[in-house]
Amino acid sequence: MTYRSYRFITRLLCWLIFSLPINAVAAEALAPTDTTNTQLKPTRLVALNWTLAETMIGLGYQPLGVGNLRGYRQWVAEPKIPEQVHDLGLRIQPNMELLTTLNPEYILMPAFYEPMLDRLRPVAPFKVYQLYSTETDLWHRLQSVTRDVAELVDDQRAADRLINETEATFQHWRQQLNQAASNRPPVMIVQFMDARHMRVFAEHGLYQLVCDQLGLRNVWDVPTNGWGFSMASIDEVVQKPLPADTRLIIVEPMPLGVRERLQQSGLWQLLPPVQHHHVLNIPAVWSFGSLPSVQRFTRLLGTALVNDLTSKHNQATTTALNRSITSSTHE
Amino acid sequence: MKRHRWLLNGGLLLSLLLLIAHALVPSQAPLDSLWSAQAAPLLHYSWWPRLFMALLVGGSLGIAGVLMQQVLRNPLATPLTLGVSSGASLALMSTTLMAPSLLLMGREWIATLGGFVAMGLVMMLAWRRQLAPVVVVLAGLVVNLYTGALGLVLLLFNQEALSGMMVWGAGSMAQNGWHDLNFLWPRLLGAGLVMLLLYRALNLLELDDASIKSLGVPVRPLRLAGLGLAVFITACSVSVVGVIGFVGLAAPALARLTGARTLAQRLWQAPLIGALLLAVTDQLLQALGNLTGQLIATGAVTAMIGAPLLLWLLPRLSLPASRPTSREANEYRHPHPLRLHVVMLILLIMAMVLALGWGQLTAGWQWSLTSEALTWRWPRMLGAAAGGVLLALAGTLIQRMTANPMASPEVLGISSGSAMGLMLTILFWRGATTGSLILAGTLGALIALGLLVILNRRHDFQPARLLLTGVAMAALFDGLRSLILANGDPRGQQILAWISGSTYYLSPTSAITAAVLAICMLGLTLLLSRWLDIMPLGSATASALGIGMTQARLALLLLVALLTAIATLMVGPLSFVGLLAPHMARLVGWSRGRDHLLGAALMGAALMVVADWLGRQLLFPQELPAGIVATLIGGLYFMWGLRRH
Repeated sequence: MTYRSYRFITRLLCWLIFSLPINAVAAEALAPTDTTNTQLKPTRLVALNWTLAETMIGLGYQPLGVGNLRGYRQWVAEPKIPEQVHDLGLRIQPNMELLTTLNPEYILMPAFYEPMLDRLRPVAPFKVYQLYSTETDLWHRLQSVTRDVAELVDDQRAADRLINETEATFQHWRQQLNQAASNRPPVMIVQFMDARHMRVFAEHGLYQLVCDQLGLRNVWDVPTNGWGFSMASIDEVVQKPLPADTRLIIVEPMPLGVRERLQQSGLWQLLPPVQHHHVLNIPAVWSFGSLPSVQRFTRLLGTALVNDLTSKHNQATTTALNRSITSSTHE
Repeated sequence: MKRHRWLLNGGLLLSLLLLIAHALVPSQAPLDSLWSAQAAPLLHYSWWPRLFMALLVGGSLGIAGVLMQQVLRNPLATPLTLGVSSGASLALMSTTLMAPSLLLMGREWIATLGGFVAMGLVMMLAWRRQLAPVVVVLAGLVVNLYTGALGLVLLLFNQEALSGMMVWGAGSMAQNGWHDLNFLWPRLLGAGLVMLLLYRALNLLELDDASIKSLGVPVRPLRLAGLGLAVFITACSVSVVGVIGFVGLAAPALARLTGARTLAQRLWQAPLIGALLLAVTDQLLQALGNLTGQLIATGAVTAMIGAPLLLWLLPRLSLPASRPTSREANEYRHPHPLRLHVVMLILLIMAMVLALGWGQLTAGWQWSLTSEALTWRWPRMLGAAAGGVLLALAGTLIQRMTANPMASPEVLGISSGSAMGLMLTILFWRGATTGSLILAGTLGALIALGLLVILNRRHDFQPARLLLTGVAMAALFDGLRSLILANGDPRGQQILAWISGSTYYLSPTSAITAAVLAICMLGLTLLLSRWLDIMPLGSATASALGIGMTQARLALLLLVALLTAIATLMVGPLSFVGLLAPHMARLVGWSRGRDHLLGAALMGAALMVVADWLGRQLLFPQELPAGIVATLIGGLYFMWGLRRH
């Protein structure tokens, strides 16, 4: 191999090393449904993970820095983070020198980060929050975290406002569901990893919180981990006996190519929701989020279910009407 | 020998039949309808394809392993350790991140392509040396590390986007119909036919180059054909089901250990063992069912079962005598090693000053030797340098002790043991502090060392056995890691950050302790340099010159274990400085024991310091772990050196 071709390959490899992590991830864009972006009050708090950042913005306050800002914009997206917020680097390894320069008042982090970040103690006091785990009631936990963060910015009214907004959202969609159908169908909420595996969401998770508040029964009873999901392969899901009127909720993003493979798969067609056309697709929601994500999921789930139930109801009514017309014409 | 073979095969076959009966009997369907799509759709679309897939993939990996070991004459060479699976994995990851529309044409094609590109790189590096086994193995190892490091970088920064990839990486055999099986079997049939055509020529590869040429067979094309075939088989299998660890190594090893000698014997026993092993594991997992809500992927579990199986068999059976490895005829020796040492030391000091002073802050690149910046930087730099020295020393010791260029302290399995301790602590102990993590790491390293000593005591710590034990433990660790990552636990990022060799978590105390230890160890190993000069000459010569081989090997083993354990706690288990630094030192021209040790230590330290600095500054404020950057830089230099000499 000549020197020139060797040089070319070296340059190619150098480009590979240094540019791969920087390239933007081409994930499916999260469809923003909430376009309000009121002015945020700046603070001197940094949030190491996205849940806490989201809480702060939901309360109306702008964090000084957030871990992995690029990831937040792709995977959480709303509530939006303004451009001035500093990116701290990897969530579990916030840049020490940058933090020292920023000189925050407090560093907010989830409980399972704390043991590894001893070196950051001289920078600023830690505020540690227990978020997702198997022992908590998530709804109360999220409320208390919201109030604790509001305590730091000395604005309990913002916390009250956020919590009341969330409860109002629940109330609104409960009513909408009542109007759409007299009895709620059971649901199963999944997110595809590839054509043969999916995450099924149940106990301890954000989606389950919303289901409980809306009065929906989740048919998945396999134990889940502390983040509210269990990984299942497609044949494990098919083996579970599902009631005929179960709604299968698929949360995006769906990896490219999976939809086509599922159409071809004989196994997929065995699922009762697929046979009865009870499959609903919902845009992406950050599954380990805080109250703003809870609101977003409630809106999206409520809309999808109400549309589905009313269209089915209309279909049933139309069929009954047609049958009565034909029977009356026969007489 | 024969008794063991019938025991192994019979045992596996019986287990498989029992498990099949267990799966089919409860369905209570009449015999002829166990197949049909209408009467038993779950069986038809999921269970039968999965059984056939397990048998097919297990058998093909066994054959690929035998082919590769025949061409390369090294029992540690499998397509997986030569970069095929990490190449496939990297290809899939980069496509998912940068050009996801390509995935529409089929994941299998991209994965196969990735595997081929990796192997092509290996061939290119070894081309000028007629694809000599030693060079191919080395090149394969470097490409494997390189693509693995790149993949780890992608994973660190894009954990959410790549969570689907992690399931593939763990090798789950769940099937969605007959589509995948129909993709795989025609290709494997074709490869099998080509292999039968080449069989007589492949048999000749047991001889050395001169004999083969004198029999009229061209050496390089033959090796290319053999390796290409093995890679094709593996790439196809891996692209469809994901990474199935260890079958490609365990099946040929078990076949050899139960008495298969000739190529023909190995070619039918290894696939048989491989197929049965994988099918039994898969059926067992299905029978146990989904008790915990976690996904238990077969590929990862095969590694975790196959490894102890190999460890159990190892002391009981005898390995064939290791062939003398052909030494490179023109090993370069620099005429003035001491001057080179001084130059290297100056370079090291310059690198240290650079790492401490020049860096990015909020206002861009600055030269700041202020105390504020220094408080953060000096422990990391010192810890990185100490880790580099320790690993380089350990690597030099082990390469000279075993006379195997593939040997590195990570391959011995001690860093794997340490990393396993860390991983399990992070997962299961919620309140773990840095202190308890260090304790867990040390405990893991001690357990690994204990296993190493106990299992090899009776055979005088023969190098081949040591390495095989280490490889089994590393396979165990890899299996556990992919299993944990596949389940999508957000703590996976914590685990990844620890095991990818970041110096982020070093405190000033641990950095100083490590530095002091490094200097003491350097002094200690320099005292042993006479052993290091004599041991590579072979055990007969060494004993004749008055070195008690067993005691010497045990002492060196303990020393290597100590060095590796300390270094792993500093820079993680995946830095591979222990493999690269001794080779780089040799390429520069240090070849006598004392010079090699000192030179490797200096190079290791310099490499880690530069790697740490680059990792912190390149993607500011993101940080690349020092271990990974060291692998990327050192790997490039290594590949260049392979081409030059």
